[in-house]
Amino acid sequence: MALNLYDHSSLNQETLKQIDIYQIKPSPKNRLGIRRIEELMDSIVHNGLIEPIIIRQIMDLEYPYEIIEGERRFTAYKRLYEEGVNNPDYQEYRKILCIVMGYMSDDEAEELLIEAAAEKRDLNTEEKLYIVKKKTEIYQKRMDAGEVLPVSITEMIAKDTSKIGVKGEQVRRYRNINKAIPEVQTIASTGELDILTASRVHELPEEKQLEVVKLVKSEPINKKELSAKVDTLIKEDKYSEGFIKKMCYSSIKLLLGKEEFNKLHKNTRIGVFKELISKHLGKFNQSTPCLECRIESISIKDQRKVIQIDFVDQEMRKDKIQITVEDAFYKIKEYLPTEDEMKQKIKVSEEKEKLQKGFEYVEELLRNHLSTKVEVTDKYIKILHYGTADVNRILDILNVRED
Amino acid sequence: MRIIAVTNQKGGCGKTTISTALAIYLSHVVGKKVLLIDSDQQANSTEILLELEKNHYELGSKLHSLEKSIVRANPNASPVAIKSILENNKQYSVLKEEYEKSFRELSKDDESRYGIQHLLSGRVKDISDVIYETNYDNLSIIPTDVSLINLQKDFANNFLLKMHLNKLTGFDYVIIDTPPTINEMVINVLNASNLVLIPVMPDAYSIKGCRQTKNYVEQTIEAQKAILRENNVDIDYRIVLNGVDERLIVHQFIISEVKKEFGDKSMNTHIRRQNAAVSRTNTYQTHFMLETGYKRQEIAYDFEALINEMEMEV
Repeated sequence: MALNLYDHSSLNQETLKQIDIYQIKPSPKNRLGIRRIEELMDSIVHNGLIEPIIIRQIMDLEYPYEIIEGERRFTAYKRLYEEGVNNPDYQEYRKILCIVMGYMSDDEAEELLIEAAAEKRDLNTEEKLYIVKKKTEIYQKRMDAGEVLPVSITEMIAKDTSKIGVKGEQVRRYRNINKAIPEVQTIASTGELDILTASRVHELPEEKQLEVVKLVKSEPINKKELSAKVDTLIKEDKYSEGFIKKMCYSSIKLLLGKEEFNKLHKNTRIGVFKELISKHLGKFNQSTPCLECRIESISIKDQRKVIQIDFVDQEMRKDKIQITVEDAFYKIKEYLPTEDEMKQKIKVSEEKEKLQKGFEYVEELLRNHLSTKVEVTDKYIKILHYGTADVNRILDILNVRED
Repeated sequence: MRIIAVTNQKGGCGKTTISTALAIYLSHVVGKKVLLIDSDQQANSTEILLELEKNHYELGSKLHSLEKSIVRANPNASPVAIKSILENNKQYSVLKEEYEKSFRELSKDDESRYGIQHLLSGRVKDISDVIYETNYDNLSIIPTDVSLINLQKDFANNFLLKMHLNKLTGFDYVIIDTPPTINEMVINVLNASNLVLIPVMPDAYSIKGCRQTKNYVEQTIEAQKAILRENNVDIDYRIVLNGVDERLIVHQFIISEVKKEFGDKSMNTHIRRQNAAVSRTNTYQTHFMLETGYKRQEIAYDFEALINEMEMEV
């Protein structure tokens, strides 16, 4: 063991050791199942242990070490030793090669445990749900401690769990399932309820969620029917969380169209923006950062009477706004675009289309004359590999000045 | 229960002498219940207190005194003549044969005896199973042997010894002798103790080793604070000069320098240099701490003063 005399952190560094299997205990927080143990036992007998397990030191006299990663390997060793107690060849399985970590808090250990779990293959839905849930907790804790994450929690998790096949939109669905009541989570993990439908059930109040569970359990029902049923249930429940959130997002999108707001100076916009959002639910787009602000989460609180929007502003400061639901509904109406405005918008987009077609025509024209790459927009014309003669010709054709 | 570790990464500075002397004095003379833990794979403390290989050393000292008396009886004989006289002496040849036989059996360990290594590697679960009585009153020992060096790769929990000692009852003092190095064993000892005594010889190399050990102890204290999440951990250290001859100007200078450098952490008591401290332990005559009356060794006064200072101030 190499020790740096002048660094006390080395007292708590990881080391590689052969530890007695009866001094090691599995982590009570490991919820992942142990499968195909015989296969592994066979492999250990023939090839040995390929990777050491990872354990940590704990303040427990009976079991001074707790597993962070490698419970399956540990179990295989233990079974090999116990089955071959009288066989001298199997005595070597009394000790297992371990990377021993220093002391850490239970939270830190759990974080490592989940990180290791997210590296595994062939996990079932229940385990995937568990990992997503724990990851959410971990990131939430970090955010509560004042850390600003570079992207939203869902995106952070998607990065971590890509190896176990939970990606992008799937993470959002898993997180939504975790928000539902435990019964729904159970039928989702057993596959009785498909993930897509299950991810929307949490929008319903608890008694309605139970209704869905009953529906699934009572009779075989096909996916489409079930999905439609859940849809109607959600629609019926006007004040369901999902509905409120949808309203929030649509109002935010509408506000984006207001021109006078965009004309303001950047810094004043932030201030006005805060004021506005506190009055009118704000000017956000959930997925793309707008006004250098990013919504962290929209949550419904106080028995669905208050909407809370957490966001990070330009200087990465965290802030939140609360607004009552009733207020929100009234204000949203005020900001709905009138018919004229809608027509105007359509007109503008039609004009843009026409313009685009014009540009394309010019591009083609020039390309035929010059046989080089040409790019035309409303502001500039970009020509690659041209000579002076060419430029003059273009200017002649288009009758514009060089820029 | 006071737990005192005696440590220094430098060898030969008196760790074993000081630990055994403190243990014997506190138990046999003062009457406290004392446990000495030997965590040095060289197992010298174990040898001294369990009086292992006593037979060998006794034979050795008999042989030596016989040689001496024959030399004294023939003051004018040449070495060759002495040799032939010795070889013709029947008593001498018998003794010599026995001595050579016992020498061959030296350092064969008693495998039935458990030690600190069994406790830390988990072979023995209960600390009371590794505690052995000694011939001294009130003094017990957790022994060790050379197999400790192999077993060091079998444990990695830095607070294992502390957890075991927390379960210990019925002792006033635990004194821990350590190996002259820094390894898991020493980390365990430092984490378990309330007071770390760093013996240091009055020479430049020793002072250097002492600095490193002192830094290491300070870092251990910091690490303990971080791991246990406590601001005041119950551990302090003291540096004690050993083998001092106060008549020497060099030693006087070093004493003042040590005082200057380590301040309050250096003890006022120094332990003087006395051959009896080493030679007596090796020959299993009465331990130098146990001589009384006119036979009392000067060095015993130093240890008494050291214990008083420890009790009063630390």
